[in-house]
Amino acid sequence: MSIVLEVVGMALMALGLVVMLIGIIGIFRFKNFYARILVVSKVDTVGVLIFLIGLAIRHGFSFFSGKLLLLMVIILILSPLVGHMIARSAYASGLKLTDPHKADDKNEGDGL
Amino acid sequence: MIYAILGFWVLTALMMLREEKVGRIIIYFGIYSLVAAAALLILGSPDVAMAEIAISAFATIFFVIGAEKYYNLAYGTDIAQEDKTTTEGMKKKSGIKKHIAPLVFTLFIFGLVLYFVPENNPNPYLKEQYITRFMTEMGGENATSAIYLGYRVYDTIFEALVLVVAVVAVLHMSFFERTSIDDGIRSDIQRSGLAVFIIRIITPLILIFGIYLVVNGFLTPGGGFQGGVAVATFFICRYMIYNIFDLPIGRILRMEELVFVSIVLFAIVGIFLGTAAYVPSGWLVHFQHTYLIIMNALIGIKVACGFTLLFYRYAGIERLEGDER
Repeated sequence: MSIVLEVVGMALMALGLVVMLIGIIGIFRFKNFYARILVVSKVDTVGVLIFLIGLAIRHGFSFFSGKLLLLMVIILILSPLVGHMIARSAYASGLKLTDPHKADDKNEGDGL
Repeated sequence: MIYAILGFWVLTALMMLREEKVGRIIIYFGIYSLVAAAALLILGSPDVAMAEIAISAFATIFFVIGAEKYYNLAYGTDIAQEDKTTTEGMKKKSGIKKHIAPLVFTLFIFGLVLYFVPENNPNPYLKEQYITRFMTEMGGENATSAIYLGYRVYDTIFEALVLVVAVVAVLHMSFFERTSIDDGIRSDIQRSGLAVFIIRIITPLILIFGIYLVVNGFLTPGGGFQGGVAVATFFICRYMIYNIFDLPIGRILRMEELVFVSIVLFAIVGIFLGTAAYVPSGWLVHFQHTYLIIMNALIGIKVACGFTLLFYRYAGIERLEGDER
């Protein structure tokens, strides 16, 4: 039983790291700020959550997993809020949604 | 080897004294503090090296602000010397020398640090003494709190003093004459309803978490400094919910200074006078725990007040006055 828990936990932790790696590649590929913040605020939350679920499964039903569950709830509430506030303050400071110098017929200005 | 770095230290000090342009003196001061920190590291006291770097960082800011008011930074005290910096003179000195000297200097400092940072610790006497003895001598189960509240409490007093001075300096050095907001003015930024809604749920948890970190600093990782920052975050969240600057700044500053004085007095009574020898034998553990909890609580109050004042200054007065201009 503990071997099954260990393997499933490690597989989920690896999956969480792969998701975060894809998000980091996305940051380097996008050129526009708003596209980047969109990717980061989703991938960051989901990757960390999958990682923590794998860690909690690996340690079984214990006090440690209870603390991880509380941590997961707090991350689920606060991490998208941080992305929202960053994007909102960027818009309020005047950063335009599309760069008018990059918009042409081929791509519509998101700079991918 | 030691004499080389000491000679270099004296050399940078002399370089500062011989220079006439005030802007260059300020830059040489930064180099001087780096060389001094490297020398102190080699002589065996890394904590003094860190204090040197921190203090020179603050002092550079003060020098720039002060010197900008009285001197023309590019030319020094004598304005008639601008004839010296003609374009032909500047072209002769530039070229390859411009790139070689900083590179050599950087490699020299890096080489010194890498040479003297030990990988296998040749003298682990102090580390073993701390690790084997801290539970019986200082109480608690967190070695870090035993060190910064017991064995090296002198450094903690100095660190708290640096924080108080930094907050007082920020509050008094400003381009604007206004020093407090008395009429409960509200800022005019359109707030996000989503952010306010979620922060209303999270704020009590942040306060409880901050108090937990402060009070349990001697058992689990935490302590006065970390918990104080969490409590200051609570006050920042309070501003984000209610959008009003109504804290009494003068009273909070007085409280912070009084708490700092009480930290010093408590450290004297608890550690420096050696009262642990006069405590009756069954009560030593309670005395140690009381000392640790009260010191952590005082440091937490001080740090929370300091960071709240800094936030109030920057987000309140600097932004409001800056918008009016």
